[in-house]
Amino acid sequence: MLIIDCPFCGPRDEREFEYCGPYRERRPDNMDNLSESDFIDYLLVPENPEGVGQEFWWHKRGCGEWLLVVRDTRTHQILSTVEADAE
Amino acid sequence: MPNKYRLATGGTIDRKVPIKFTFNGKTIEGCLGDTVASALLSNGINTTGRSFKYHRPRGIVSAGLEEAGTFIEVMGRKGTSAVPATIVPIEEGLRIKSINCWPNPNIDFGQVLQMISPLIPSGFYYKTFFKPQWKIFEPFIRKIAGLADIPESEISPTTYDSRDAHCEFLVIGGGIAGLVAALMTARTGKRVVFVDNHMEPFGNWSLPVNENASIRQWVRTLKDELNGYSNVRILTKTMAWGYREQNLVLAHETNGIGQSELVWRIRSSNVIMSTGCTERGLVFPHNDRPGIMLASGLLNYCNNYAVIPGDRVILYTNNNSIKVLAKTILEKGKEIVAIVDTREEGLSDYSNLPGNINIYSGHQVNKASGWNRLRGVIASPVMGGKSVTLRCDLLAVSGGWNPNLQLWFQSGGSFSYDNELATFVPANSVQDVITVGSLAGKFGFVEKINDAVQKISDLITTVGLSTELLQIPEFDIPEDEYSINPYWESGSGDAGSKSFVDLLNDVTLADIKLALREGYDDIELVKRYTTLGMGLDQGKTGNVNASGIISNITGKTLDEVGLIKYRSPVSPVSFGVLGKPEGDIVKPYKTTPITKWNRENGAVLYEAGANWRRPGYYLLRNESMMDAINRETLAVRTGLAIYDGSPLATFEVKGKDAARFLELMFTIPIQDIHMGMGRYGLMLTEEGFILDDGVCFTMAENWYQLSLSTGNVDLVHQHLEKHLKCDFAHMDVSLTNLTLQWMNATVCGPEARTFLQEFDTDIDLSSEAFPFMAIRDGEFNGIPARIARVSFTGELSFEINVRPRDLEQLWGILVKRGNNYGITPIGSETNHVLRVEKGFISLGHEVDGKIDPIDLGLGWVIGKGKKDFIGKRAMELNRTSKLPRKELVGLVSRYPNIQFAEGTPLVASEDHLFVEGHVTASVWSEINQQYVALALLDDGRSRMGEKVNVRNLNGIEPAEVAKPCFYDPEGTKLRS
Ligand SMILES: [Zn+2]
Repeated sequence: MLIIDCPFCGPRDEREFEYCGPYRERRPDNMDNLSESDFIDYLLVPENPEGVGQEFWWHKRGCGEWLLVVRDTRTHQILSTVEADAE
Repeated sequence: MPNKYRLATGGTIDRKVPIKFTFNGKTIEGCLGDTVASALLSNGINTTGRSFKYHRPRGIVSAGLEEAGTFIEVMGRKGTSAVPATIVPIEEGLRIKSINCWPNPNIDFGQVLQMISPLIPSGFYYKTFFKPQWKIFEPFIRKIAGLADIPESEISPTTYDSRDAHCEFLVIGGGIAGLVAALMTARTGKRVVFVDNHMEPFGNWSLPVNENASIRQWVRTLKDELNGYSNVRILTKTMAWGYREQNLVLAHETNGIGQSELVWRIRSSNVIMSTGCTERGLVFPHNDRPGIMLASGLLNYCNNYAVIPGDRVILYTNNNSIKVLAKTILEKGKEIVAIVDTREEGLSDYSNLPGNINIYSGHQVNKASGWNRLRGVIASPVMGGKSVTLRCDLLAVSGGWNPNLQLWFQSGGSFSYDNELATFVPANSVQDVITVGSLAGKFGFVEKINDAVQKISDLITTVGLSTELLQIPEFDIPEDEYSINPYWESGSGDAGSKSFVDLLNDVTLADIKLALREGYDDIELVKRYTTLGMGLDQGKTGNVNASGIISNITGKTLDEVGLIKYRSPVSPVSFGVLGKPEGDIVKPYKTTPITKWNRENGAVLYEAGANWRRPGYYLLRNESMMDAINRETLAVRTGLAIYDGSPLATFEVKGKDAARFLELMFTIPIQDIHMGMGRYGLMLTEEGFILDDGVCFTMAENWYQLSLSTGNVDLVHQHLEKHLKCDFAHMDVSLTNLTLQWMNATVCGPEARTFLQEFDTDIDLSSEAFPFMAIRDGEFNGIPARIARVSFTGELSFEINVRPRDLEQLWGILVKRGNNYGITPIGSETNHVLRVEKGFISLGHEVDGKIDPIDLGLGWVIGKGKKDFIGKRAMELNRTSKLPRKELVGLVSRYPNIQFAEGTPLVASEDHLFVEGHVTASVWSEINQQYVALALLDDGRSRMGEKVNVRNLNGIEPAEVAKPCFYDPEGTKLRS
């Protein structure tokens, strides 16, 4: 079980969070004229690295914020936790 | 004579308190402080179990968790199965059975297996599965290979729970290094948790120590000081069994069989492991005979239980740690027949032992003799030469010492082979963990202390703390350098004799050789092929020997061979403590404000989605469930009914871009929904499948309210949030889940309007002013209300939404005044019947994650002019395949009383194994006086009127495909 360091609430137990899938690019705005292969890439080819990857977590039972967590899938070490839409 | 092998003095047992228990039906007497194993040994019971595969007689081989010989089942109410006999304390009246014995350990039908054992080499199961003979073997194998029976009692009296602990320092293991580490960290004033699996947590040395008064005195001093710290939590009888990410350690605390059990989740900034060592056995023919045990086990029985279960003892070793045992046995006045030591230099090690012991240095044991009881051994010089036969009834073996790397493995740490110690020791850590003491390869007593002092001082400095220096007294003990000559296997043996590497899983030397011959040359493959190390003990005493043997055979170095990966748990943990505690405290049900009224009025309440406990139906006197549902459905269809629709999911969406956002989330157009009106639509996943259905109302400019399904609220909330935060963060939208802020009483039935118009309200309820799908704010009988004309029943329906605090009052007044109309409260079962009659879809029935809107005949909810919404592109892409689609249809039987059960397959007429659809819902329709069903059927919509085959349990039943609507197909009633 992970401890996730929420930028708003501090380090909190994983049980307060919902895992919401690997990071993917923002949804394309031109969905209607995206080429088929670009669409399939967007839909079905998320990054799934062995090692450092980014993923979305929702602090549902906490502040309700969406977080982008950088985690090493081999060691479960969390390298950074930031607000998901903080660009 | 009871306790024949009990020594007259010594031990920590209480001879004055005899305790009787039964073992395989026989009454055994031990005394307070005994374990099942020590009590059996003190009574001379040698054969205590049968081996897993060959059903050879087995005895007790150790005194701890590493036990590979005897596993028992505790019977009765407190029953538990497959626990080592060495860790269960005896209690008056305890009933114990050894496992793998049928009918009992002395007369064992499984011995027949001995004769056919050449037919069951390693890989037997794999090989047999691929051939037809499995059918012949199966019943026989199942009968004899069963591990333990299901406990007699259905419900265990044991209570299970879990606890969390947080600390700066976690010390695992209470040997001398662990004790030093605990004390030094305690002195920092930071939070310390100290975990040990023994009854008495201090002073359990894994490697034998020549104890004296100065050691005992010092240990007492340390222990007393440690007990005085309020910042230290000491968990005894607690086994650390799991090591997870970010220094999370899982530990299991138990007070014995049938007592309460706890699982601890301990999160520590720093973990100090001092899990010690375990002795390994020696591999030689018939090394499994009852009467052969680990030297460390015998030493433990000697010192703690005052038991030496034999009269003529032989020690067999490849290292000098056995000296302490030799000295102890002689002190207790027992005879040592001989010491067989594979080391040439062994002789000098025993020079100061009293008496005339035959020392066979440079010798190996060729084989053991005896069957149910050891009779002797044959030894011969390692370099070859004349063999000698030695009679004995007890053989203590020591193959060397292995650091207990189980938790270290789990923490991700690496390991390397140490030539001096002839075993694997920890190398580099991955997490914030250090190892001290014999686990770290420091085998001498003083060496362990110094190691702990040095490493803990460094750690404390590194984390920026300070501690008092620990004073270490001079111990007057001989500190010999550990000396070992690895001897991975000995004796050639005859073809039929078995040398066991893994006692518990009956894996022999020959099995490993076979696996290597057949090309399974990686140790993890050898494991899988032979089941080596896969038993309940996870090969604590055998796995390193296996690595040594593989190294011998393949010529690879031990670092190249490696070690079988240890997995969680370190030792078995009961399922009860791993399971999530259930019940109202842990997972409270949600109830609505009228639950009290419901209970008083015959409601049968149960969970119906999203953890809501709500009425299924209301039972009047002498009614059956079916009667109640029929009565309730008729009330809706012909008169007046009321239900509590509060659990429906409600979201509010506001902001400048609210409409733009909802256009993307829904299949329907949003911008043109008139103020005060709603529109039914679907929400799809980006993969193009239905996630939820519901109504979007326009409340005001930039203000929308969504009314969605009860069951999917969490998933839908996440879906909306995710897209809002991750894709459309640039939009000005706020989303609020108002499910618990709006409660409602829904009044439905042909008389609903007439009835409600009797009340004092500023909302015009006439059909002209308040059409179907409209929503109105106002006051209803003095209560602020938001009324919506949506219908899940197919009848005229008003959903009166109020604040939770007002629902009870509203409900009360509606029910009271509705009496004149025969108002009938209805439950969720009735709602289900009504929606099936109307062909309204339901999540989990018609919507199963593979269905799109068009399949359900809901193409009309897809906004024709919409360029984009979540799921549109994927849905279109899915539809480019020309394969048949499962489409929603109705099903009726020729006979009104035939029901097609939910889930029943629809099969092709020419091939009853070819499934072309299934029944998704099926109910008795009181208004139609027949069963009606909904189904998903290949290309169903183009097959109206066709006959299909329903494969019921008792055969094929014909059914006719119909429109998926059995009541008011034009919808005039719900629009009225
Ligand atoms: Zn937070």
